[in-house]
Amino acid sequence: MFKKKRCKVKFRKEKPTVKLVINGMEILAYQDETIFQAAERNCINIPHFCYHPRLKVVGACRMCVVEVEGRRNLEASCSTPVKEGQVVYTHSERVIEARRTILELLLANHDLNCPTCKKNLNCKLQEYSTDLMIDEISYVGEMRHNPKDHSSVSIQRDPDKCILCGRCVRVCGDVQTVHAIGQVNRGFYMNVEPPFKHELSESSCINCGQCVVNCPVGALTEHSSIHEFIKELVDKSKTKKHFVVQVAPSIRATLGELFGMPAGTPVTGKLVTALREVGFDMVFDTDLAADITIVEEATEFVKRLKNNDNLPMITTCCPAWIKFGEQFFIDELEHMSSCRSPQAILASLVRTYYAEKKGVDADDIVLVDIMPCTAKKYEIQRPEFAGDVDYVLTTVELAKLIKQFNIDFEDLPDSEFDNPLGISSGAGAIFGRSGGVMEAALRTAADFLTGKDLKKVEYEKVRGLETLKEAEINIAGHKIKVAAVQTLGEARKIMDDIRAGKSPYHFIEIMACYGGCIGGGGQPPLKDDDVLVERAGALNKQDVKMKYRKSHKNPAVLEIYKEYVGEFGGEKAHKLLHTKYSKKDYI
Amino acid sequence: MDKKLQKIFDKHKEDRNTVAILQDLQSEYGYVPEKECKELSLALDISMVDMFGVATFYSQFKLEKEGKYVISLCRGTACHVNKSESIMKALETFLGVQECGTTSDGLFTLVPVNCIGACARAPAMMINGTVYGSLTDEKAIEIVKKIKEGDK
Ligand code: SF4
Ligand code: SF4
Ligand code: SF4
Repeated sequence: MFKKKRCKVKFRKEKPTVKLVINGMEILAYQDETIFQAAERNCINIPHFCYHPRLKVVGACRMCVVEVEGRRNLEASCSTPVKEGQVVYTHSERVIEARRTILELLLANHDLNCPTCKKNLNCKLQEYSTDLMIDEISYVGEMRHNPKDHSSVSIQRDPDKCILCGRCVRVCGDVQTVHAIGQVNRGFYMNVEPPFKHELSESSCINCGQCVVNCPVGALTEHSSIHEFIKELVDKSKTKKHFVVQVAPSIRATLGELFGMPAGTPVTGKLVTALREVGFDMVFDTDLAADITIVEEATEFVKRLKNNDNLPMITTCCPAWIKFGEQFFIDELEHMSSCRSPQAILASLVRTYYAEKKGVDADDIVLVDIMPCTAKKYEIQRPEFAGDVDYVLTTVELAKLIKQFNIDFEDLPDSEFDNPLGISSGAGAIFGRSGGVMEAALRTAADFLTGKDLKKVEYEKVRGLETLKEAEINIAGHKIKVAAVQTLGEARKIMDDIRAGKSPYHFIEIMACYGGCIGGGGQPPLKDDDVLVERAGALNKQDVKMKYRKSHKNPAVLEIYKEYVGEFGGEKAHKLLHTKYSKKDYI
Repeated sequence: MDKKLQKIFDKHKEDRNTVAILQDLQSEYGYVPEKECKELSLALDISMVDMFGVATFYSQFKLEKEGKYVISLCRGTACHVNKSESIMKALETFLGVQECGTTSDGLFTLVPVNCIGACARAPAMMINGTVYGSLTDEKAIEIVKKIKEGDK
């Protein structure tokens, strides 16, 4: 029997009342909990593939089976409710034997080339097989031979690695309401793919990568650009190219996890040093471009509000959301802000402002983006921005890059972002979490509307992990209703209301991923939602520490407008910092 | 939406029963056509992947339009020992299709079947109801060639 040490606290008003015994330990569970949930809350881990706390329970993989006294068969703990007096064993001999059989059957027709798999050392099938010491596979299975799908610029599919847990299908269909992929065929031929044999690039996929972070194995992975990038980098001495990198706001709050640090450890300084050691000449901060996005967006919003023009206005930092809108809400595109995303703004400034200032030919710059997101790989290929950015690497890829250079990340000293595109405000910092863009925009819009330098900078109501967060704010005689939305399923509801002419809002932030960019498709996989809380907390702490909390007070932003861009929302600003949207077809 | 599709839509706009919709599509068009599926998917708010998932789950659904002539090549035991495999290969090469495929001119579909009950004349095939027995590779090709010419 082991002692109860740590216990995850899920705050509920009522007390748990159902008494059961798990592994000889008395446990109190809530009426509506399953055995899996009660165990997990008491830090008893049960291996699982198909279960995910935010997805519909399907009980398909049977890895989470447990022994319940008085029941003949083993029960899938993810779908068995707790009962008063239940006696449960999560790791009995029978249970372990059953799990070993499941693993052996999976391994028997699995393309087991771990060293060449992108999920190597980060794979649940591998992890559980190691835990349960599967040293021999007693079944001989026929191997599947399905073609790989590398058509998408964001995501690669390798069906022969799929264990058919269906998490990708549920996140894509139920959470994002995109339905790009589904289970097709039956039995041995069952597969996860887009309908009618189409490739992913032709499907309705909006590149969010939520299927990638949720895939327990190497069947869905990001479309990596590391090799091409390194090829170009090692030629540096010959080609004399100038290597520039920008780092998105959320990366500093998540990268540490991939080097064994606890969630929420800020690694900004080490991150910058690592990028210099890799060989970049300039390390710029996308936070600064986030400040510019805010200045432009707030200007646009104030104008629209005063003229009651195409309200609500919707933020456009998330390329997955933009494609979603362009596919499913073509008739409502005028609600989208015309501002480019911070990523695209920094890229535009590197090729123009920075190149001129530095005296380098814009064509001699190799620009790499470190992004939390597979959809950014799609964004840089949009015709409106084509050529500005050479490579997008996700957080996961960045960790691989650092490892490839054998850099001891943990021991690196701190260093700072380079000028002139390295100074940011607290408003730019919080862009990486859901509600952050809204909060940053309100800080600036409120000052613009009142003409004052307001003390209030924090808008707690738009923080948190709810998929819809609302607030009503009175500024200079305007009653402004705002919403911060995460996941595209929630966005679809909001857009349906707009279409029906009954949306109560003036200003809406939409991010495709749960938690915002800190939960993006290129981020390290989540152990649970507490990780998101830690990541968001790291960004909020950074915000509080900053000298400037508002984007339009950032001296670097003001300097760039004075020196180069001109007026907020002016003609040159529109040319460099804004964009257009158009209908996107899909099968 | 064309008339045929409109009829299916009207019939199912309340129940939105995927299996029934697919059955109606198949009996109307002879197979489950992609374009029509998409139209219904949008109109009835059923996702394409769900429709396709169901259509590929049950073997009753055909995902390709059948050719004007369906060549059912027998793969029963008697035909098998009499080298029906080789005839399948020969026809595949001649028609330029794979098993269950349809030629690009929409004329022929080549399907292997379990037994057509013509064991005495093995190896045998059936084309739109007519049985041809005692086949060789050359004979099978000859028969198909004739039908093709006769169709012009
Ligand atoms: S998915 Fe996992 S088990 Fe399969 S090859 Fe990749 S690392 Fe190995
Ligand atoms: S990237 Fe997003 S939209 Fe595309 S298949 Fe994955 S979950 Fe679906
Ligand atoms: S692709 Fe990954 S997430 Fe999707 S069913 Fe296969 S193993 Fe599960």
